[in-house]
Formats: sequence, C-alpha cells, structure tokens
Amino acid sequence: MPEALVEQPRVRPRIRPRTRIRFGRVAAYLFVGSGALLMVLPFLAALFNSLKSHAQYIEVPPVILPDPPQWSNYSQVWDRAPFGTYALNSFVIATAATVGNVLSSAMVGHALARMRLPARGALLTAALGTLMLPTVVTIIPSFLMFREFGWLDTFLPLIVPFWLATPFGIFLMRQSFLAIPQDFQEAATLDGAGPWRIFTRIHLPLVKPALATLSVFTFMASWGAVLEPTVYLTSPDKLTLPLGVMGLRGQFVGNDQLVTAAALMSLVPILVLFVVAQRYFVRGAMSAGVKG
Amino acid sequence: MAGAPRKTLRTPRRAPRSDRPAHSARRVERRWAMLFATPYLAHLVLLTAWPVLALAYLGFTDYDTVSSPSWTGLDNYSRLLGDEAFWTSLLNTGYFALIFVPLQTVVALALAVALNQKLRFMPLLRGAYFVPVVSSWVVMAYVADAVFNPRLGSANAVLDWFGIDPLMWLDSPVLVIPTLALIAVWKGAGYMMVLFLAALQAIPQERYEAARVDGAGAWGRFRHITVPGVSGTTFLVLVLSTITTLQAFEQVFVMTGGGPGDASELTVLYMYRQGFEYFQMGYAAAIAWVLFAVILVLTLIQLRLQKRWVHYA
Amino acid sequence: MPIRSTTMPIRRAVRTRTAASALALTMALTATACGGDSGGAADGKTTITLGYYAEAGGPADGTMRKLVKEFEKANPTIRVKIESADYDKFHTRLRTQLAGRKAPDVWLSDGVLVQEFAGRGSLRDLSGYASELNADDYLGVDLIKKGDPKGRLYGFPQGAQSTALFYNKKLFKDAGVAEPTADWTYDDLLAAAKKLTKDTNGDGKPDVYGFRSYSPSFVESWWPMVEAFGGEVLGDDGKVAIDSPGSREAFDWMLKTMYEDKVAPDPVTTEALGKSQTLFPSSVVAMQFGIYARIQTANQGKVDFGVAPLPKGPDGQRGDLANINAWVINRAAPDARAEAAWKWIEFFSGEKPQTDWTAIGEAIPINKKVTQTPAFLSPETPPAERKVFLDSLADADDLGLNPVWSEYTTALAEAVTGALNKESSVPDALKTGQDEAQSAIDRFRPAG
Repeated sequence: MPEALVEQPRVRPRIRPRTRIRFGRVAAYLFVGSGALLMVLPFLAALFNSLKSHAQYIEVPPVILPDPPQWSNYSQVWDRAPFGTYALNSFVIATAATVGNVLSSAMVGHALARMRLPARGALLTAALGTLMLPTVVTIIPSFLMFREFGWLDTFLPLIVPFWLATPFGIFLMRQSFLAIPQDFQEAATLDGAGPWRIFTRIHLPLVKPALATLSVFTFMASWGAVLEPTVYLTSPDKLTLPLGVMGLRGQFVGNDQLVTAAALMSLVPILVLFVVAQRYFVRGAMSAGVKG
Repeated sequence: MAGAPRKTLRTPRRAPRSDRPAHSARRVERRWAMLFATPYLAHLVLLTAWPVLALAYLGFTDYDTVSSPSWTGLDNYSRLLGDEAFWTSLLNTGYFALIFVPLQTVVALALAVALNQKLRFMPLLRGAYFVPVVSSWVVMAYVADAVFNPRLGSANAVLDWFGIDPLMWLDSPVLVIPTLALIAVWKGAGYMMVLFLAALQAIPQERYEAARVDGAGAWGRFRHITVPGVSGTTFLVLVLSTITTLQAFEQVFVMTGGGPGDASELTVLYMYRQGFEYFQMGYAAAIAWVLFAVILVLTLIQLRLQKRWVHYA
Repeated sequence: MPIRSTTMPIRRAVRTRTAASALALTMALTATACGGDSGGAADGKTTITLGYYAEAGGPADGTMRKLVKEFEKANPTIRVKIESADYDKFHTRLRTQLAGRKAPDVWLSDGVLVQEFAGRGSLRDLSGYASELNADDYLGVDLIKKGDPKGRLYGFPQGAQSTALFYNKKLFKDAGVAEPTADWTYDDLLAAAKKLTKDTNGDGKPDVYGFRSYSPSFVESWWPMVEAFGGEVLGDDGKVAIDSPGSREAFDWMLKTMYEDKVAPDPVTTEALGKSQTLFPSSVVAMQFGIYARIQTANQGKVDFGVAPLPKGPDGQRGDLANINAWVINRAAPDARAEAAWKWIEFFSGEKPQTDWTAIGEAIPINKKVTQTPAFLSPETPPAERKVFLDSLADADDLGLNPVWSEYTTALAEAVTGALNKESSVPDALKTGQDEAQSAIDRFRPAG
C-alpha cells in the first residue's frame, strides 16, 4: 500500500503524511505511554510503603501491599507537625522567588541579548563563572552577610537572591531573546518605541514559553530547597515543607513509613499547581514556534 | 523597580529622531541597558564577589568556623595534592557526570520529539513526566527507595520475574553511581525535555515541508533539521547540566551519604563534610577552588568545541 | 533626566551594600567571642535559646516542650526560645550558627561531639556551676570529664547510652537454646549463634541469623569487640592504637561469624535484608549488641526480647562502651543567659523531669535516684532487666573522645569496613585505618 502512494504523491498529497503520522502515532503513544508509566509507578510503590505499619515496613520477606492499609499514618503526620503552616511558608517563599527571578532574569537577559550593554561579554562570563561556584561553601559567607542585614530567621535570604537574577535564568532568557528576529525591534524603534516599551510590549510576549519554563523551574527549585532553609530558618513556625518532612526522621526510632507519607503529601500542592499551570505553560510553548 | 522606569517612557521615544545626534541615542540606550542589568550587578557584588573574596582568603587559612581563621599559606592546597579521598571523590564525580549528562540529554531529546506531536491525552502524559521533576530530592529519596531498596524495592521484583538475582543498587559499591545517575535522569529528563520542546517549537515548520518534498525520511529530517535546529539548546543543556552535575550534592546527601564506603562520595559532599562536619572550612574552601578550576576547564573545552557543532538559526 | 535620578540611588545602594559586605568580611575574619545583646528584655526577663535534636512531634520532642513549659512556670524571669530539628539538620545549622555567632545559648550535644565543640573554644566550662551540685548524684559526669585533656566539664549529662547483648526470646525458645547469662564468653555466643541460624525455606541462605556482627554503628559492632579481645582503639596517650594483635583477633572473629560459620549476615547482606537497625526488630537476627536506645526500635517491631551483659573476651573483658549525651552552654552567651541556661540544665537533671524523660525509653536517666525507681527498673515494655545497662555503664569506657572524633572514627570505620567486606586484609585495613585516623588527629591545632 504505501509504495503505491509514493508513486503518485502529487495526485493525493494529503494521504501519505496522514498514514505515516498514524503509524508514527502508535509508536509515539507506546513510547510516551510506557515512559510515563515508568515515571509514575514508583510513586505508587512509595504510596504503598507509606500505608504500612512500621512492623510491616521492615518485615522479611517483604510485603508489597499494605495489609491493612494504615491510613492513620497520614493523620499522624498532621498531628506531629504543623504541615499546613509549612506548606503556606513554602508557597510564599517559592512564589516570591519565582516572581523575582522571572522579572530580574528577563531584564538582565534582555540587556545582554538586545541592548548595547557595555562589557556584555564580561558579564556573560561572570554569569557563567557564578554558576561554577559550589553554593555549599558560599553558605558561610552568605550567612555572615545576611546576619549583618539582620535577615536571619526571615524569608528574605531565601527570596532576595532570586530578585537579583540567577545565572540560569539569565542564560535561558538571553537565549530566547536572541532568537527573536531583529526586524521587530527595528520596526518598533522607527515607530518611536523606547527600550522599556520594546521590552515589555514586543519582546516579552514573544518569550512567553521561556518565561513559563523559568517560572516552573524557579518555583520547583525554591519549593524543594533544603540546605538554605535549614541554615536560615530556625523558628518552628517559619519552616518549609522539606524541612518539615525531614524533621520527622528520628535518630533512633524507625518511622520511614511516616516520612514517606509526609514526603508524598508535600508533593500534592506543587502537583496541583503544576497541573493548573500546565495549561498556560504548554499553550505558551505551543504558540511560540508559530511566531518564531 | 518596575514602577519607576515606566514614567520615563517618553524620553527615549524621542531618541531615534533625525535631529538628535546618533551617539546620544546610543548613550541613552546604554543607560537603559545598565538599568536593566542592575539586578545582576547587585548579584555580582553581593552573591558572587563577596563569597569569592571570602573563599579566596579562607583557602589560605585554617578556619574552624568558631575561632578566627589563621593564615596557613598553601598548606590546604598541598594537603589536597596528597589527599587520596579527595581525588577519589573527584573521580566519582566525573564518573557520575559521564553517565548522567549524555544519558539525560538523549532521553530528554527523545521525549521532546515524541511529545512534540498533537497526541490525545498529551497534557496528562506530559504531566506524568513532570511528577519526578517537581518532586524534591527529599521526596525522591523515599520514592527511589521504594524501587531500589534491595529487600522491598520493585526493581529486584522485576529482575526476579526474569530469573535474575537481586542487585544491591545503592548499597553496592559498583552499582551505586550508575544507579544514582539513573535516578537523576528519571528526575531530570522532564526538566530538560521542556527546554527541548521550546526549541523544537521554534524550528520553522516550512523546513520540514521542504525536506519532505525533497524526499527526506523521518530519520533524515530528524538528523538534518531537528538536530541542528535544537543544537543551541543542546549546548545550553550540556553546559548547564555538566556544571550542575559536577556540583551534585543534595541527591547523594539525602540518598547515600557518600556510601557504601566512599563509593558515592562526590566532591561537594566531601567538601561539605570537611566544612560542616570536621570544622575545616579553610580546607573546604580550597576544595571549592580546585573544583571550580575543574569545572572552568571543562566548560572552556565545551565552549571551544561548540563552534564545531552548534548552529544558530 | 529621570534616568539619572533612578540609576543614581541604585548605584549608591550598591556602594552601601559593598561597604556592608566589606564590614561583614572584616567582622567575620577578625571576630572574637562577642555575645551581641545580653538577652535582657524591657520586662526584666531573660530569653535564652535552647537547641536540641529530636524527631518532630515524636515522644522526645513532645516531652521536651512540656518540660520547657514547666521550667518557664517555675522560673518566671526566664523565657525559652526553642530551636529544634532532626539530628542531621540540627548539626548543619549549628555549624553555620557558630560561624555567625548565632548559636543557641544552650544545646543538646551528642556526647561524642562535646569535645569537638570544646576543642574549638565554643563551649563554657561548667565546672564552676556543677560544683554547686553533688556530682555523685549523677551518672556520666566523670566520663565527660575524662574526655577532656585537662579534666574540665564541658557538658552536663542529659541522658546516657551503654551497651548490652539483646536477644530474641522467642527465637531462643524455638531453637531450644538457653538464654545468655552474665558468664557468657564469645565462644558461648558463637555456639548459640550456630544453633539459632536457620534456613527455613531451604534456599541455601539463612532466614534467621544467630547474631549481627557488623553494623555501621560501630559502638554496637567492632569497637566493643576490639576492646573485649584485648585491643584498644585510642590509647591512653590519645594516639590511635587499633593496629594490635587483640584487634586482629576481634576482626578475625567477626569474619569467621560472617563468612566461615555464616551465623551473621555480612555487610552487603545486612543492607539487603534491611538496614542494620531493622534486623533485630524484624526477627532476622536473634542477637545483637545494642545501646539503650535500641529498646525503642525492638519494641516497635513487637519483639519479645531480653538483654544480658556483653560476652566476655579471652581475658574476661567485656569491652563495654558508653556515650553520655550532654547539655552544653555556648561560650559566647553572656553571663546572664549562661546563668539561665544552667538553671535549665539543673531543672532537667531533677527527679521529676528525669522521670518524665525515662518514660520515653530513649536513654538511661542520669539522675541516680531515678535509676533506682520503678519508672526505670520496672518498665511496661521489655526488657525487664534494665539494670544490665547500669552495670555496663559503670564499667564502660568512653568512645575515644577528642576534638576530631567524627573525622578520625570515619577514617577508621571506612578502613575496617573494607576488611569486613573482604576488600582488604585485616592487617592492611588496621594499618591504613590507624595511619589515616592518626593523621586526622595530628592535623588538629587547638584554638587560641
């Protein structure tokens, strides 16, 4: 069948791609579908673990299905620590960090890609260099600085750095701005638009996918951060979710089933957020190509 | 910051008029550029220059974080040269990066190509790939345990179906790094996939049409249009993931703690131990510098090689 | 021009911040102990920060918070701000806080870390305060003093851990083996372990092992064995002395249990069966060496178990070990806060708080009177023979304390684990371990 079609492509030009695509589609579904299963099945296994009693969790030979499911593990987690407060804290910090990083990285990326910025090369090099500095050791100097600012035990050390643009954000935004054809800017300049207007009205709408990408990434990074919140936050009512989850670990007592339950619960808000955001996120990504 | 410049919109609007000298317009634009770059300038001063200066100094000292640092010259660096544990950690890190970076790039690109179609249930499918991405390492540690735990993990259960003896995964000195890399790909592929998706969307559809007319097959189109089309993003992904992988910390910190033995002791974890467990912040700073140098060299090599294969549209 | 008016303040701000950073640098690099504010508030109350590690919302955390409330009620002029976290995070944060001189005024320190902080000059010598008390009323004071080269008291006991032989009564009964006694030797242990080891499903691998030889928690594994076989880890002169015939004998004995007689899981199997601390609670091993806190884990597994003294080595030594967790006071805390912090320590050591603490079952109470009460001696959960831990504590040696404890013991543990995994020979491992551990000790320069 396909051979016959190849011989007369001009007569029925629409059929060939359609069948091909259909064939490719089955393969794509298989590939994408099995991959997706592989991605999420472990979470199901973890869910089973979280519903076991401790005795069942450590049993040899192991039991796969919890019997009976200990739903009380989940309520126990809530009784042990104020997870609602932790979730709110994480949400506030991650949102503030995300807004800041998207704004500032877009501005800096724009300056690097689209404006006559002096010492552009040096700045880019510096940004790349910053990425190479292991943050683990910079914790001590940073801590000393934030202490001088009086910011210890506040959310500021976890938010403000994001308002000063991150190297990753800068690279991502610069890359996207570079991809926009020069003509847009020239046309706008002839129309009398200034740099700010070109940035906000013309260039920013064209890099929506990158903005969405950066938002999701920043939010995740902030949401999952462990080291910085550990060091900066001390008051019990200021902790973030990962700290809350890890806080359940005992030095002696085995309660991995509880920690697993808490870990899975800490995943729910960000999953919901992602599902809600995905519509915009994906639509942004889809519309980009058409204009580019 | 966003509020103030809005008022000034009118000033630069006048700039392009022919009665104003061109260099003045350029000066105005430069000022604007500086203003746009201000957040990063502040970043450089506060979050780069200051820690770098402090670390540069601390590298030459014995600093236990409690009492004042005392100058010890090159002691830390000469100790590093003979510190076998440090070199082991560097080898471990390189091994980890060597598996993880290429594997993740290939998987992410393959996924992006597959997901870049108008399939039904696409949001749902795409969402599935994001579940590990949005999970923090703390969550991942417990989920990965459900898979790779030698006793109750599902990985060994699957091997058992095929009659294969159980593996020790993270508890095996041989398998620990490949397993960590596999878990890292599982968590990271969806992330990089998005970058590739955006790049794929940016490739003009006409090119594919033209290639089709010229009789190019699917592989040919992928090879000659998709691959060069996403080469810029590939480069970005490679550089960024190399840099972040060489600094990998959280994953091993929460999952293996460097074990078994020193089999998964990565350099940053070793550095953390020196600084935060053994009170040797000066030595940790010296390690940071050597690691920085290694990353710098590798990045420079990548930048050099970039010209050979990256095409900007 | 508007542009200038917006850029200028920013530049100025940058400059001010640079100045602030420079200031911070200067402060960080030249700072000597300085306390900041004295903690005295307008209402005449002293606020102290109290740091401890505990699993959030667990029994220890709950009891600690309850005791803090009672303390505040009893001392209306003192307010306590709690900073707690799990063990790992607590210590990470503590290191940063010490660097920034923001550490708690009083914190709970793992016993093995007291000298690490003291050696860096971050702790107050509590000898003066403690002289108000009768040291004989408390357990562990002498062991803390022993850890200090000059015999100073850098921490006050909070709870004690000592070693004992845990055994699973049901598995002993099933195998028809007599329960361990105080006269047991390592040979008796091995003979019983052989009888207890069973392969019930016939796959060629034991399903129940007689004994757990290896654990990464070395206080329950090779360390007491080395001492029982006449070796020692740290000599009286403070030098690492593990490379000795006695230690070799101990490691050979361990290898025999794991690879020759196969009555104990080797390190890899230990991981495959769970982690080393889940083997006893899940009845995979019939015996283990354990510290007092393992009572909790064993009871979580609902095991019917008893405890006996550690077996005797060839020369009759048991090699008992103890770790005294302690309250320490920050040297940077000004007098008023240190005073208040001591009041807390005194309160916590009292009979009622110690009785409450005993109820959690995590540590041996350090108030001697409480150790003689039913609260400790007649508990509701097994084991009934809690006195075993008191006897073991009385004979116990410390865990070779010094300011680089974590570093030198990690070096040792990595080397000997290689031998226990059969990746290296015992003599080689002991030699490497000794050399590396010693060089960690030699690198240390005392503060000031």
